[in-house]
Amino acid sequence: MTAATDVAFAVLAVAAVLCTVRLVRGSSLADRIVALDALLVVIVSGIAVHAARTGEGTYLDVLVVIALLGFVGTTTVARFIEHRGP
Amino acid sequence: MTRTPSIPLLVWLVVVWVALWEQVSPANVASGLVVALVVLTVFPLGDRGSSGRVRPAPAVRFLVYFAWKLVEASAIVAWEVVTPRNRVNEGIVAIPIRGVSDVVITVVANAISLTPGTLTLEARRSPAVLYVHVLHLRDVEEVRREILHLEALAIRAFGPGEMVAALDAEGEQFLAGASEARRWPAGAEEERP
Amino acid sequence: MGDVIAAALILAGVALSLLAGIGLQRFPDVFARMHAATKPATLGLILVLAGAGLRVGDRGDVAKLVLAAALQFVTAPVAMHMVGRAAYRAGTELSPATTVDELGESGDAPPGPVDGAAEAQR
Repeated sequence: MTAATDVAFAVLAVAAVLCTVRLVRGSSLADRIVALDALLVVIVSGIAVHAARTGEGTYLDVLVVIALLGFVGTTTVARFIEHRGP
Repeated sequence: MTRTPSIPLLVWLVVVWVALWEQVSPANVASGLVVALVVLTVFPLGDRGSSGRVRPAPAVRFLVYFAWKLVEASAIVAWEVVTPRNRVNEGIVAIPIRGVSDVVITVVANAISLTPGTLTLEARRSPAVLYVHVLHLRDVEEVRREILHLEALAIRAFGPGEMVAALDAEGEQFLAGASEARRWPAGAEEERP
Repeated sequence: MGDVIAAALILAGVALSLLAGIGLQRFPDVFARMHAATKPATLGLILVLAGAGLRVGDRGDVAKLVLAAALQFVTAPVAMHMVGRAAYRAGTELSPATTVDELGESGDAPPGPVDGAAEAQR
């Protein structure tokens, strides 16, 4: 299991870097929020992989909170884009 | 609007509450009920033209079809991402759906959005039209057919009873033919959320 | 055996996350990136959560993982719809790969930002 989660962490790290590149390069606000959303999913996946590795669920509360905050944040910025333009 | 809160929604909120507390205890269920009632009273759901109910067997059929589409579309988009050749041909397609109830429109729009390769951009209620962004657009009519089929499955699963009967009588063509004339409304101003 | 399945689910899930990252770099406009990024990532997350669910022992932890997966399924399409709609209404440029725009042709599309915000800015 440790080997599998090692690989999983490495893959997630690459994914996070790719998301961050798009987040920085953006070009439009919508691009950035899409990248941020994907990044949040990567972070939540990381927490879940950690839980799978150690078998303990201490951080699972954080996981639920990040998943929910991500939704609220994305929706808020979407409203903002709609009013202000890209 | 004073409506009695819907029971399934109440149960869902209590389940969420109890799951967050990690423990099924009388105190947790009771406090969950109180919180759920307050939430549903303070933020009532506007629900127009529903009167649908969930039919288990068609609902399972809908979910199986949807899950299959999900896997298929994921594979296609994944292949598109990893292969160097770029075959992306984007397009925004107007899809006149039957629009028999808010529940069905919502279910269909969300199913479209969850599937990789298609994304609901705009939804109109009457006349019911979904504007869908498609990543691999080949045949516009085929996209319309597929989504009307998805909607037919959704109506059978969640729609009002008389619509299911009409579907049974007329098959997939039910209301689908009327769509051409209804597609672009002349000056019909639509309420927006 | 359970661990093998869990590992397979987790690896498949993170692979989808990686695809999302690559898609973010490769696709030409914001709508195509949304197709490539958020949705595979969401499916990937569901797989990872399922894999983690097989590994954590506590029932309460499993409940939280199931809750997170359910919330993801409900919120992801809504969030994507909001971003897509906002991007379109705000007049984001479509990529040259776009061949059909029936929303633009229909005259049904709201003209840019709503609530007169655009007019106020001009």
